[in-house]
Amino acid sequence: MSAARVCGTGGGGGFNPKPGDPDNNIFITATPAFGGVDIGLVYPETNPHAVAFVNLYRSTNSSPTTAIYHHKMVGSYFFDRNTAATAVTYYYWAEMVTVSGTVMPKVGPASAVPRPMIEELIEQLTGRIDQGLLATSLKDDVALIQTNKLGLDAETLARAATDDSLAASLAETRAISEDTQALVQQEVLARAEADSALVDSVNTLAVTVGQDIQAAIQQEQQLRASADQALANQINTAQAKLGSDIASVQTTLGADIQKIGGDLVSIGALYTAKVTVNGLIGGFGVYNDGEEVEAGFDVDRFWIGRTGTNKRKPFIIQNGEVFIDEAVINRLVFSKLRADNGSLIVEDGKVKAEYILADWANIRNVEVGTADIRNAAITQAKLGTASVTNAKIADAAITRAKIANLSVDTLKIANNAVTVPESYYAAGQLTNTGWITAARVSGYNPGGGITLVTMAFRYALATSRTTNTEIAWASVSVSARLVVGGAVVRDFGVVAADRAITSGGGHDGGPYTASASISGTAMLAHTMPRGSGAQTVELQVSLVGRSRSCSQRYMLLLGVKK
Amino acid sequence: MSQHFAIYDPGTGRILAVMELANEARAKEQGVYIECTAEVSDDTHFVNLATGRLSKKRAYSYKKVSIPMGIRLVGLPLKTEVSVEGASVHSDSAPTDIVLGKVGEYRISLSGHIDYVDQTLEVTISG
Repeated sequence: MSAARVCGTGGGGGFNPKPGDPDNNIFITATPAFGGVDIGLVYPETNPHAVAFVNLYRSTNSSPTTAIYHHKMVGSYFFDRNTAATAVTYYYWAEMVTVSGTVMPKVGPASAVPRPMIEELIEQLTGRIDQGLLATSLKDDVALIQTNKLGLDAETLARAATDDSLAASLAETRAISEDTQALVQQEVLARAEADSALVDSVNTLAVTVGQDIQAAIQQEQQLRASADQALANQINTAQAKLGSDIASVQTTLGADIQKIGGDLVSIGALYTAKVTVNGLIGGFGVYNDGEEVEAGFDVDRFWIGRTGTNKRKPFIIQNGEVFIDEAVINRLVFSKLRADNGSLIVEDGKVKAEYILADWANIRNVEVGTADIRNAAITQAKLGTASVTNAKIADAAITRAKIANLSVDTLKIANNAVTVPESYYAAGQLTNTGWITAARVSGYNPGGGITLVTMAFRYALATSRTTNTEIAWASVSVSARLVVGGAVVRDFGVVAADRAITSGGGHDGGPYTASASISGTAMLAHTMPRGSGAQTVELQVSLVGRSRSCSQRYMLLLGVKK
Repeated sequence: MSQHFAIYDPGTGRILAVMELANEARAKEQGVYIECTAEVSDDTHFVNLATGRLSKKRAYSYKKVSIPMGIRLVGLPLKTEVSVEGASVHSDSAPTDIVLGKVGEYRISLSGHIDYVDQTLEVTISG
């Protein structure tokens, strides 16, 4: 995996940032990922909230002039999916756009080479393994063990005339009884020439019964040394044959170095162990070619663990599947994931879950087909179409609604759509004489409907009268009227009054005194017809008496538009 | 949804009324205004002209001292209007003496300051 490239900060001229704009200290990173490139952004520390989005540009060239617009990024991460068959280096630039519309200079480039998809990568690795020396060595069947006496004789005769020095020996011990043989054979060939030397040795132990029963152990050792080659091989084979059934075990140790003209052309150290039964070949091996070391197991079942102590082997491979009892994985990349009960599946980059239990989730975009939510606290929601059986909403702002059947405890409707509730309230006392305005709403426009005017006020009066006649009287009264546009539209007359008369209470010539007082609350109502434009609506009160006051003045205008 | 507005005297900051209106434009038609909550009242609040914000009124703070056939109020703010039986007087830096002349129960009202809650106190003159 090639390393991620991180670019520096941006900046420079050519743009005019506005107050509140972020600075251009944005970082872009590109990291190779399976099937694409991970693009990361680190937003500026100054006013990061003012970043509206980031335009991502891409090129196969590091020159900014070749960059073309590729993607609009909202957030700090984007996976640039790329399944191109050939490895190409991609270069990325980030162009920040602020909420005020400022377009910052491009920052970059960051570059990365996409990795193949996981399945494709596994196929590539498999092909490379199969073509390698190790896999080839494990693939061949073990040949039948043969005694080599005739071959050795021929070699001895052929070489005798030309070789500088040749020594060969054959030691054989054979016991024969009718069809049964027991054989111990040791063949050795040693040759020395002017610039090379070799030793071949074949040791064979064999027992045979008739033609079809044989058990043999053979050790072959081969040494070569010359100016351009050094080779050491040892092959140990144990083989049993009974009729047409053959079972073999063979280990091979090989070390080989070859040069041509002094240049190293190949070097290798190989160890393999093969087991074959009737043509079924398996085994394992390790091979070092000087550049990498490869180990492989050509087996149907592979396991790691302790015999007799593991209830479950910690690691098993069988039928192309890997079984891990318990895994501690620092970083995991996968293309498919599922729970053994099928409750959670990750496939093609998407999570399919029957149940998700999460204490906290931060989800940028959610598309839900059907949701059963027991208890949800949603700060802000935008619903295209919602069907709610039973909703309890503390505070809702609805742009447009069509409601078939609505029951409302308290209704307040904006923009005079249906009703216009307007009110006036003042607690302060008024003590003026004559008609005084107790409540006033200016510019009221009832529109196309009637208006119900509800009025209330508290009053208090006290008065007294003293005369020198035998009869003294005193009275207090409260009158009210509704004035609309300067004209009295409703005269409520005297809404509260009291009167006191004193007679014979004094002595001849007086004084005679009468006192009267009242206090209370007056409540009045009136229905205004449809109006013709905005008018001032006033509740006027007249208080006649001493110590007069009018307080707690209230007027409500409820206009019905339709 | 309607809003609440306090209509006030721009010269003193005294709230004239609290109105519930359809919108701010309607408030502008009533006079000088400031948006408020439904809990605001001309009894309890005023507009502090120095800050342009609504403020709560304070309670009058004073001491009552009995005097022959009357009561003395000590520590009233200057120019507090003290009213009783239809007569009124404004306080100054000296204590305000109220001599009622007759035995009885009286209601004395204190007002005149927009930043103080109007108050009525009941006193009994026993001779």
